[in-house]
Amino acid sequence: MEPEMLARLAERQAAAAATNLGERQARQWVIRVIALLLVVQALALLVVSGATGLALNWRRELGDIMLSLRALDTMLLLIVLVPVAIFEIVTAFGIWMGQSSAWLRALIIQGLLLIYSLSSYISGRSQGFIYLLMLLCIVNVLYLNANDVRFTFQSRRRASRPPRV
Amino acid sequence: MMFDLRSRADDAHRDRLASDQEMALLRRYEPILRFTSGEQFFPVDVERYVEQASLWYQRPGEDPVCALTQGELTLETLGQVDLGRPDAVYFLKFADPLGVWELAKYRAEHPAASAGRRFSPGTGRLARVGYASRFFDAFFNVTLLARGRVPGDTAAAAALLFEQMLADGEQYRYHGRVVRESGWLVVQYWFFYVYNNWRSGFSGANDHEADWEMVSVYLAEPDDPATARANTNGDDFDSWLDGCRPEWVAYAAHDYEGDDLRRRWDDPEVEKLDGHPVVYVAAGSHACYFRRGEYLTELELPFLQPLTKAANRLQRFWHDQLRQYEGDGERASVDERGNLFRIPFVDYARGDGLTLGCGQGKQWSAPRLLDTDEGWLSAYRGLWGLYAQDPFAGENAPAGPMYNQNRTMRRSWFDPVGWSGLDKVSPAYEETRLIVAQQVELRQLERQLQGEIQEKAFELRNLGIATRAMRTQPHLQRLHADYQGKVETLSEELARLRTDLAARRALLHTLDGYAALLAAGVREPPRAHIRRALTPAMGEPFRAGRLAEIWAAASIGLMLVVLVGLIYFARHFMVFGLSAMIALFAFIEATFRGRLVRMVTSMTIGLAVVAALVLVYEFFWSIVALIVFVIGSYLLWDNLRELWR
Repeated sequence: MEPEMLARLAERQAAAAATNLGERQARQWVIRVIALLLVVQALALLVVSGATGLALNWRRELGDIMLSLRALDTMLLLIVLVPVAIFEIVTAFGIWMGQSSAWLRALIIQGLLLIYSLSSYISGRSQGFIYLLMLLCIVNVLYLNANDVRFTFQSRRRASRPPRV
Repeated sequence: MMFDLRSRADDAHRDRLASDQEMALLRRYEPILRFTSGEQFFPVDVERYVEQASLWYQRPGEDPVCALTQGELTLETLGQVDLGRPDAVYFLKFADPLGVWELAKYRAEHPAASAGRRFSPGTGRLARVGYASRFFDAFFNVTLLARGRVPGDTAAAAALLFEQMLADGEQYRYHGRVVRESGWLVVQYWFFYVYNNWRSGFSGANDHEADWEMVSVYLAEPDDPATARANTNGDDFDSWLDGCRPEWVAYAAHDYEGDDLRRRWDDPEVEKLDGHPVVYVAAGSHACYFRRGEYLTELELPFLQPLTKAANRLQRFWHDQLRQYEGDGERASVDERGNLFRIPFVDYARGDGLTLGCGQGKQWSAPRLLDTDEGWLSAYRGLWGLYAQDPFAGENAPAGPMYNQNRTMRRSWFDPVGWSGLDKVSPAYEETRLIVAQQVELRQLERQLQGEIQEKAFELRNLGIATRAMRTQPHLQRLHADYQGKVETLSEELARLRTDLAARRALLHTLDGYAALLAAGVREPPRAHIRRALTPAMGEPFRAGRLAEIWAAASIGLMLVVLVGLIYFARHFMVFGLSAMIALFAFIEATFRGRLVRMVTSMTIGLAVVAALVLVYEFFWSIVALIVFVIGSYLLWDNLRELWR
């Protein structure tokens, strides 16, 4: 091969490598942003759960014959939000590690949280934080469903599938 | 030169071939029709149909009146009918509905025919589409009860009459004509069926008496039309006929028209047997297709068009502005393509039934030539079958080959070239001449423009000198301003002329290249003109087979029943009940289709949209204030940053 052609080939390979590197960096960035958003949301859920739980005088509530409506609401909130928050942190870790199924788990979590928020709103038990929760969920859903993000995780899922024989 | 060519084409349009020559052309390219197993009606001669029919007219709000009874009506009398009542609808009536006993007897004697003889629908049409389409389909079926339609047992009566017709003499015939238009020799084949039983026989959109379908073959004559005229008038007709080249063919399907109906003769999709194009005829509807298969035909109701447009806009905003996921291109389903508000019907063009045509099981009889001198063709503008008073017109019979139902001229008759979008294409011999003519015209124009540019440029330079000379003279200030205005105007004009010249030169250059390609025998790809070809539906894999189809057929009805149950028994839990029902139905559907991931995504997005609406409702003014604050802050930051640079 002539030296000119060799040089051109090397140039092309370098350009392709740079493009691949750029794409990989962009994908890494996408993954980190999602993981971060999920962690922020999980922390917000834990803070809200903790604050709501601590605001109640549990000694008095448990001493009564029947739990008050507020106590029942708080218990429902803790039962729903705390496991979801823990599951979300695990999912965020999965996304950080590049698990292909983590994207679907993240979307299911957003769906569950939206159902909780909307049912609280419709039944008139709306506490101030559910609006913040809705906003976080909307941002997460839009970001998770963005073209780049979907393609990043779809290509991972395809790559992880065994080839058809 | 271009005018010359145009006028010659117009001359050609006026002249006609002799009857035997038309016949020879028709027979040379007559199509081979492949029907679907279960088809009950085949093309016959109109004369046999008319002799079995009676002529009626009906004024608005009045009962129909018989004008000519069966026996009185012939093709000749049909052409002489006085259509003097402008408010009346004239129509033929072929079959009287069967009585209960006659129908029972027919069903007993034709057990398979009642369920569609030897016809199995395969994957149900409702299983091929989503919930929205199924809902509108249910609505369409309900409207059939309210609007006019052909009585259900008329199809059986027509089938009996048609069987008798064949028993009296099995003859299959088409009607044909040859016409010259825009440099093309168009050979048209018109097929007449006594009945369209698409709805009653094959779960289609409509039933109606009488059905006209058409296939056109477009030929390029061996030489220009003037020579062709001389040849066809002389003795060397056979050599002229051999020199005619079929270049395009178009098959009519429902009310579609335009480029997508047309295929180039060398397109692999056009199947040919000994030079005869093969047509796959859809069961019941008799629509013509190039390939065997099952075609998903979608009916859009006119009043739903605004909804379709709104949905398309929303989808565009969602994908383009919000950059949301668009799906996997080819795998995008019908609903994803924005066909949410259309009703699905399947055209079964399987080609596994009777085959009709040259060298096949059943042969064509000698065709009937369509001559506009015949009154039944040109004078009778009424319907060719029962007038069902359907406001959507789908159940009313069609008019003849020349007319639409509203008595206007049918485009495929008076403009067969424009109907298939061929009016922008010329036969090869004419194309080269048209290119040369365009090149000559462009070169002429180029010279004119160059002269004009030189003249204006000279004028501009002189004006510039005068303007510069006056600049330092205070007493000539007004004249200077006037000259400056002239300079600006002339500069703009000159720029426009130069742009025009550059564009024309580019066009000329392109034409030169195109002419060279044509001279070298290079043609554009045969399917370059097709935008959205009708292709057989593959059918999404629907798991659990029969069970899934039963679910598809029953889901909308079941949904309505559950809704009524909720209203009656659990009104307080309406919102939760409805949400749970929709979620459950969506889950079952997604499971059958193997699309659970898509369902989760769609549901979550739906919930997010509802949540966004709640936020807007609760915090409208705060959101507006926040947006204004953000815009103000951005402007402040941007402007201050400019200062500090």
